[in-house]
Order: sequence, then structure tokens, then C-alpha cells
Amino acid sequence: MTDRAVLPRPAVEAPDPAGSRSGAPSTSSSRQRQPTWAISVLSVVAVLVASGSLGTLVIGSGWWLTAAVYAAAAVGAAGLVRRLGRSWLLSLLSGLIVIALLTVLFYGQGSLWLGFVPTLDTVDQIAATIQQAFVQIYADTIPATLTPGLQLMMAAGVGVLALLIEALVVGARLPLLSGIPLLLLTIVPYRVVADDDGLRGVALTAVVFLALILLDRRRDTGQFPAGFAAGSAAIAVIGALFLQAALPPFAERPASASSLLPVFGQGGDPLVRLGAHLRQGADVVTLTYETTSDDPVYLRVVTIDDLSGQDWTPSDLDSSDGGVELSEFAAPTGLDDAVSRTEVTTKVSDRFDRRQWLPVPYPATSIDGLDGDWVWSADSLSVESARSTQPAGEYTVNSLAISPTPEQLQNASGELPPGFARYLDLPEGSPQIIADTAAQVTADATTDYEKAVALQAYFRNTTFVYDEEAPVQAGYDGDGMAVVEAFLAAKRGYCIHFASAMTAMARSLGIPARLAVGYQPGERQINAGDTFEVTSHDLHAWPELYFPGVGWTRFEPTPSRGEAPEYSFGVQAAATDPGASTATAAAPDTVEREEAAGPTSSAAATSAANTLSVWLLSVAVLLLVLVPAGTRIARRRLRLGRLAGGRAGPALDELADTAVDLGVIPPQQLTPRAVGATIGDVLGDAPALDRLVSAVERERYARPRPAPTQRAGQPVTSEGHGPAGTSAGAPVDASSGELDDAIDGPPSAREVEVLIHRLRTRATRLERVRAFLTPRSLFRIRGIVAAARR
Amino acid sequence: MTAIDKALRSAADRVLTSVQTVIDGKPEAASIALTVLVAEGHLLIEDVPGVGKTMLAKALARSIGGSISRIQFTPDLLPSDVTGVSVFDQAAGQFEFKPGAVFANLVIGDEINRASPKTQSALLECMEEGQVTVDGRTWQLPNPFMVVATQNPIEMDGTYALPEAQRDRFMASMSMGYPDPRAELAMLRSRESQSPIAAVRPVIDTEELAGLIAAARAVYLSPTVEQYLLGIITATRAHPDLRLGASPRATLQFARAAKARALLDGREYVIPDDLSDLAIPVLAHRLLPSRQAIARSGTTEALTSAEVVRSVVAATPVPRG
Repeated sequence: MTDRAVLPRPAVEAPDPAGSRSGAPSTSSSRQRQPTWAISVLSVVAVLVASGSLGTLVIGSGWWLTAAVYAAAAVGAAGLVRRLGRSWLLSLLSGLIVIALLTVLFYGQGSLWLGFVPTLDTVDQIAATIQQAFVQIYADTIPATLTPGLQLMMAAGVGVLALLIEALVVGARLPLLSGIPLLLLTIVPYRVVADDDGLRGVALTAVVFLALILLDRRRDTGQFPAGFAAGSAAIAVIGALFLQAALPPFAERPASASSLLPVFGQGGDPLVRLGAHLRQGADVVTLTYETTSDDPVYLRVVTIDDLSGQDWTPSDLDSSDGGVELSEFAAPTGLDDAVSRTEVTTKVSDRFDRRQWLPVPYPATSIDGLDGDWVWSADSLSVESARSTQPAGEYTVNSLAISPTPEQLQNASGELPPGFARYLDLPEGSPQIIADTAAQVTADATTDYEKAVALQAYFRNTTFVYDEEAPVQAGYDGDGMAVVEAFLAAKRGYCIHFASAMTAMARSLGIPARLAVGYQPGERQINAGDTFEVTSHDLHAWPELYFPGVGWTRFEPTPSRGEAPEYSFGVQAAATDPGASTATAAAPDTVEREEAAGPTSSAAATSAANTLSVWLLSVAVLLLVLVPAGTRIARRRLRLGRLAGGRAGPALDELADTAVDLGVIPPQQLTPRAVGATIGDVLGDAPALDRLVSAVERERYARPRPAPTQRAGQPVTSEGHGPAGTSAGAPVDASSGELDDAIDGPPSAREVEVLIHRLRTRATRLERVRAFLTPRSLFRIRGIVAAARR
Repeated sequence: MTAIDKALRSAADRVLTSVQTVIDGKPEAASIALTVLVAEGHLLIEDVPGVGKTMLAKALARSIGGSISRIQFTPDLLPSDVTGVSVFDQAAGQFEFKPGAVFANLVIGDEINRASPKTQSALLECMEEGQVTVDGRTWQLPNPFMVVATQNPIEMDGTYALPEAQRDRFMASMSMGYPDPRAELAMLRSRESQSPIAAVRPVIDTEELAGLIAAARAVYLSPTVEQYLLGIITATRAHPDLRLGASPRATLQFARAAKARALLDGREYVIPDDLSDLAIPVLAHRLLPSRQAIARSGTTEALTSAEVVRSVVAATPVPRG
């Protein structure tokens, strides 16, 4: 007995992603089992290969091994849970839990109870490790030292990414989508350092990615689609070549030019990103201020006193040396009462919301109205955030405007305060050109003050050119003594070069000096009273030199930037002409502007090259994105073209694929008739469809053509199983008589295109876009059908 | 490709139409019955009383213009009542064979499960062999020959359900099901005056039927579709939910039924849809689901078998040319 006489259309459903079907025949599911693991493993490999490109960002490769452990463990756990038939959410969660466990185990050492039970201390410890990593990302340059925090971040990040990709490929069956995180991972280092080796990374990742897709298809078909593989490989190679052509302009950037920051988002560290900020096209208002000072105010952010090493880092704040109470700062070091000063109040309205150091004038005496927790340092009077970063909002700074007379500076003498030796330190093996040039420039000077004035004059009045691009192009942008050496030779650079060169030279002459980084005064807003607007282009660096009895005094060696203080022009200049400061300050200005014409045009060329490469890169990415669509369109033309040759099957496949792409019918395997019926349900009356289906059936299942003579009257089949004497009726010649069912030939390609078009109109716009960009049929139904073919 | 002879097509259509005048709203039932007839098989109709099992059998029988006999199976029916008996003719001085009810083109066996196993076997032997052997002499049954047996599935005292081995001899098994309300209403109105079965006249003769049968045998079964067929059959044998899979006889009958269906659909080649559409009627009644499967599905044995066949067909890859 049957409840229904007629079976519904046979349909093979797409393999259940979870592989957890009950009651279904086990033959197909067992076939899928093995490749699923292979796909998981390959997902891990893909992420690890792609993350290899991050290797250029850090010194050392230990992180990669940790990342491998993270990725393998997380994916293994997720895969296991999925295999147990749990939901994707649970499987993803279990992967994340494994990542957390590993983190505790690796980075909670020492705080674990009994060596494996996490405690509150563990949480604190790991949080501190992470925070340390953030600070490093913020401040460090490329390649960064591999701290535990950074290692944790990278490894956990890779683990999460592997988990995500595995879930996309194995769980959601969307192998194409996994290409996006992989691509991003390989592209990131380009944005930061242009590393030639990275291209190999991209190519290698592409290969693994391709393997991933092929393996995913094999999961459907049990065999590798050779034609598809060859096509994809060709596209991948072409794409890689295209990338190669597009990328060289990036490669001119030296590795030291940038920080880790862009990896994790645009940060605000003025020190290492200073050059980039100056160069960037958009001029972003960073803060505005009003001041009671007659002169514009230099807002200092940090000071740098350690010139050794590749990375100049801001002076460490020694909390014993400073305080958290902002209402009264320590008195400025070395300032005698004899030096004339005015109290200045500056109201700052800060627009940058991630301050690690507060922009304040030097020397500040107190700050009111500041949000958050901040610490000041007695030595530098810098104000640092107690957290990693925080918004400063609006605050009022009281500070002193110090105007020492040249005489006071000239006569400055006395003991240096304790610990000032570090302000005289030059790193071991500093280039000789620094000391030599300093000595040569200051040959006529007798006092420290005269030497300082001579140094400033050397930079401002000789052949030095302010140029933001030249150091980048010539490869000496950044920090370090080697950069100073290159700058002194090339005589082109911007504030950081001038300031660091003068600092180093002053030290070589025995003058305590440090590098200050902050903002030059900005622009007075005509309509807004005393408001000054400070933009990202106002980022600046200048040297501070120490004179006993006067303290730290600012100099301005950078031509055309900032404003040189009156005392910095020397005794004679100040004595002969009180207005000299403005005059001398203005003169180099015009000179530099003229000279800047050259560099500007070369800068324009560079930026054009950069724009071009960005364009080419975008086009390459776009092309990659369009690969599935292109494959799909090519296949459509191919299949419809077969109609002309009398082959109808491909056209029906095409129609079915289009329906699957559009989500009109689920990806399942159907007989031609069932395909026709399903599509017919969607389209309504479609005679061309019926004709196509009949044509396909005839083509596939009917007796092959060259048999007309045999067919008539011959016993065709072997089952003589019926009752004896069945030959009562005359043998029927099936070929005789009229063709009564009047089957027309297959429809033309044009007619099928009309059908395809009609199908499209049945789908929503979103579905159409999705069908175009990520045609499901490319990766699903073809595989199933191919499996059936075997 | 060449189409089927127009006369044959129209003959088949006439039978279908004729049967459908009696069975309202059951085109599939009529179609399967005709398919089995053309495929030289036998049909088992299992359903509750009063849904038209006998009516369908009668309508089919009358439409083909052959001889009809009807056996109402009862527990006291003897095998000789079915096959016939040798009687001594006093005048002639020899045994004379009195043919039983089975000597007809179309035999309707009503409530076959009420007969004793011995009698059932007698009928089933005729079905299989197409001949009757009594007292050492063999008598050929007429051609075409088809048995339409009906069976009442409700458990009753004194019934002997057909064992699997015997069910296997039926090419197809189907249930009628209740008519849908509209068809039932139409039936209610049209039958006030007289039963439509009385109006059924033969629409084809046995010669035309033999032509159809021969044409069905000549229908082409392509190698790929053969593979599909074997795929379905093999899957039932390995299926975890089944204690008994399909027999080789099932394979043969499945192929023949598919060919007949193709012919009736106006094709001279079998397409996978022929097989998938016929899989449940042809295969389900031959299978024995495991007890666990029945318990899991929470339905009857027959419904469980049908479900298994459905899943097997769904999982068998469709061949491409």
C-alpha cells in the first residue's frame, strides 16, 4: 500500500553542511567525511600562509609558531564540535574558548593557581599584556620588537581568523568569501611597509586559497574539476602579475617610515606619524585654543631625550618625579627668578579623542578642567594619559612665557642638575658628520649660547631646504642617527630632521639638548577673536637646549616653520634691531617657498604615482571580485552556444544554474523534467522551456540515432519474462506513422536567453546582485551534477 | 526521434479516459493501472473498503474488451475454484477440464487476503507462469492476462495477509485514497441514476492491447537510465532501514513498468522520471522495513517502506546523457 501513487520529483539535496543527516543513505555522507577534515586543515594553512606576510612587521618569527598553535587548536575544536553535530554557533564558540584557554596558558604564567587554574591576577596580567601591545602598536615603528603582548595579539588574531575562515568554508560552504579576510591579511603589510617579499606571500596565499576552493568542490564531486582548476589558476597568475605591475610604487617606501599603527587603525601618535601627517593631503583640525599670550603658543606634546637606537621613544614618565595633581606643577628646571616671564592662560579645545600625551605649552604651571586621569612629569613637564589613550576635551593651561635676554643666556653658567648626563648622550657610533659639522659651524662661537645661535642660523640661513617628501624618496625618513647623517648630507628634510640634527649637534658640543614634539602655533582665526586653529599640518618638532639659570629654551632650526624666539638670534641681532626676529624669520620663509617649488613638483609626481598604484590595486581587487561573475558569463555563452550545435543539455543546465544563482530554486540535483517543472512553476507558461526539456531528454535518454533499421520489429529487450505467447500482437514499428507528439526542435539560444531574463525578473534586486557576484551554482550544483555523472 | 504510433497513443488515451469516467479524481490510479496492464504485470490495490478498488479493476477490465472474471476470495474458496478442475465425462468416458475463474484476460481478485494461503498460492502461481497445470496437463491462460487483486489492510479475523514473497509477484501496488471533496461531490450527483460502470464499453480490443504491450517492450532503456535503475535497486538492498531489499524480479518489473509508462507518455525511451515516478508503486510493497525504522516513523510498515523508497530515489544521482 502506498499513500501516494506518484512519487514527488526526485531531488538530491545539497549535502548537509553539518553532515548530520539521519535516515538518509550513508553512502554519500561517508564520501564527504574525509575532505571536510582536509578542508579544515587547509583553512588553517591558508591563514598561516597569509599571516606570514605580517612577518615583515615584527622582528623575529616566534609569533608565527604560536599563531599556528592557536589556529590549529581553535579550528580543531570547532571542527570537532561540528562533527558532533552541534550548531555552528556552538562550534564557533568552542573555538573561541580554546583561544581564550591558550591565552591563559601561554600568557597567564605565574598567576595561575596550581599552574593551570586562572585567577583574577591572570586576568589582570593578560589585560596588562594586551594594553602593553596597544601602546606598542601606537608608538612602535616597523619592524616592531616582538613583545609578549604583540605576540598574543597576532597569534590570537590569526586564531580567530582561521576559525572564521574554516567556518566560512566548511560550515557555511562559502569558500569564496574566505578570500576576503585572506586578501586583507596579505594586503595589510603593503599599506604599512612596501615589502617585495609580500608579493610572494600573496601568490602563495592565492595558491592555498585555490586549493581550498578545489577541495571544497571535491567534497561535492569526489574529484577535482580539472578544467575549472586550470581556469582559476590562469586567472590567479594573471591577477598576481597585475598586482606586481600595480605595486612597485609602494616598494619605494623604506621600511622604517611607518609604524604598526595602520595595521590596527589610524592612530594619533604625533611622533612617528609626524611626517605622514605633514604629507597627507587633508588638513585636519586637531585642536583650537585661545590664549592670553601676546605671541602664539607652541603646544608641546612629548620630549625625547634618548637618541639611541632605531626608534626614538618619548621620555619615560617617572611617577616619583611628577604627580597626578594638575593644579600645581613642579617649577621648571633651572629657571631663575631673574629671567623675565609672563603668566599665560591658554584654553585648549581638543578635537582628537585618543590622546596619549597632552598638548601643553612649556613650562606649564597648572591645568584646569581636564577630563580623565593624567600624570605630569617634573622633568619635562609633559602630561601623559594614565590610561593608554583618552580624550582630553577642553582644558585650561596656565603656563609661563619666558623671555630671557640674550645676555642672560650668554652668561649662563653653573652646574647641571643631577641626571642631566642623559641630555648629553649621543649613541655609540654616531656618525662623525654630526660632530664635525657642529664643530665647523660653531668654530667662531665661544659660549654655549653662541654655539646654539650659530647652529640655528646654520640650518635657517644656509642651503637647507624644507621638504617633506625628499627624505621619503631618498630613504632616510624616520628616526635614528643614520637619518641625521643622511639629512646633513642631503640638506633636505622637514622639522623632525632639523630638530633632531640640531639636538644631536648641540649634544656633541656639550650643550644639554632634547627633542620636543608638538604643534606649532597654528593659525589665528580672523573672525574668532583670539582663537587659534591647529591642524595636522601644524605638527612640529623642535630642539630644546638647556642653559643653567634659564632652563630649557626652545630653538627653531626649521626654516619656514614655526617662529624662532627673539633670543635665538644672538646678542648682536637682538641688540641692533629689536624687530629682527620677525624680519629674519620672514626672510627664510620666502626663500624656502621659492625653493620648495622643486620638491613640490616631485612630490606631486610621487603622489600621482601613489594614486595610480592605488587605482591599479583597486582595479585588480575589482577584477578578482568579478572573477566568479566572469566565469559564470563565459560559461553561459559557452553553454548557450552549444544549442547551435544541437546540444540542448548545457542550455538546460544553464537555466537551472541561473535559477539556483537567483535563489529561485534550491541547489539540488534534478531530472531534466523536474528542472523544467520547478522553473516552470516560477515562470508560468513557457513553451520554450518545455521544448528544451524534451530536447534534453531525447538527447540524453533516447536511442542513439544511427539505429533506424534495427529498431523495427526486433525484440529489443531481453526480458522474455511475461506469460507465454505474448507475441499475439504484430510487432510494432515505432518509427512508422506520423510524428504525432509534434516535438519541435530545441529552442534557440535567443529563446533560452529570454527564459533566463524572465527568471531574473522573478528575483529581487538583491538576489540578482548576489547571483552576479557570487553565483552559487559555480560551487554547488555543478559539483553534484558532476558527481552524478560518474 | 520517432514518435509512437498515433493509433497506439490514442488507444491508450481511450482506455485512460474510459477508466477515469468511473474513478473520479484519481488520474494517477488509473494511469498506474494502465501502466501495469501494458507492462504485462499484475496489480495489487490495497485500501480501506469502499474507495473504488473493485470499481477501478472493473472499469479497466471492461474498457479493454477482453474476458473478465471476478473472484471474491473467501476463507472457504478452494484452489480448484480458481484454477479449474478435471471432471470425468461419463458420455465421453474421459476427464474433461472445467476452466476455473482464472481463465480470463482480466481477473479481479477481491479481498485476496481473505482466502486461505493454499488458494492464494494457486492464484499466484497462475500469475507468475501464465498457465494452469491440473492433473499433469498444462493449460495456457489467455493473452493478455492480468490480475488485479484488492486487499483490505485493516486487520481482521480470518485474513491471511500476503507474505512478502507473494507480494513480490505483483508488479505494482497502490492505494486509492479518498477522493477529494469536489470529486466526491461530483460522484454523489452523477451516480444517483445509475452506476457509471454500467456505461463503460470496451474502447480497445485485445489485439490493440497486444500491440501496446509489444510497443512497450520495444521502448528504449538507455544505459545511463539502466544505471539509474540499478542504483535505486541496489540502494534498497544496502539501506539500513530495510530488512529486505528489492529482488531481481523487482528490477525486471521496474524496467518493464518504466517502459510502459514511457510509452503511455508518448515516448519511445525511458527517462529517469519514469523510474522515479514509479518507484513507490513498484518497489515499496516488496520491501520490509526494519522494526526500528517503523517505530521511528511511527506509521505503518507500508508507509515506512514508501518513505524509504522516497529517500532512496532522492539520494540516487540522476544520470546525464
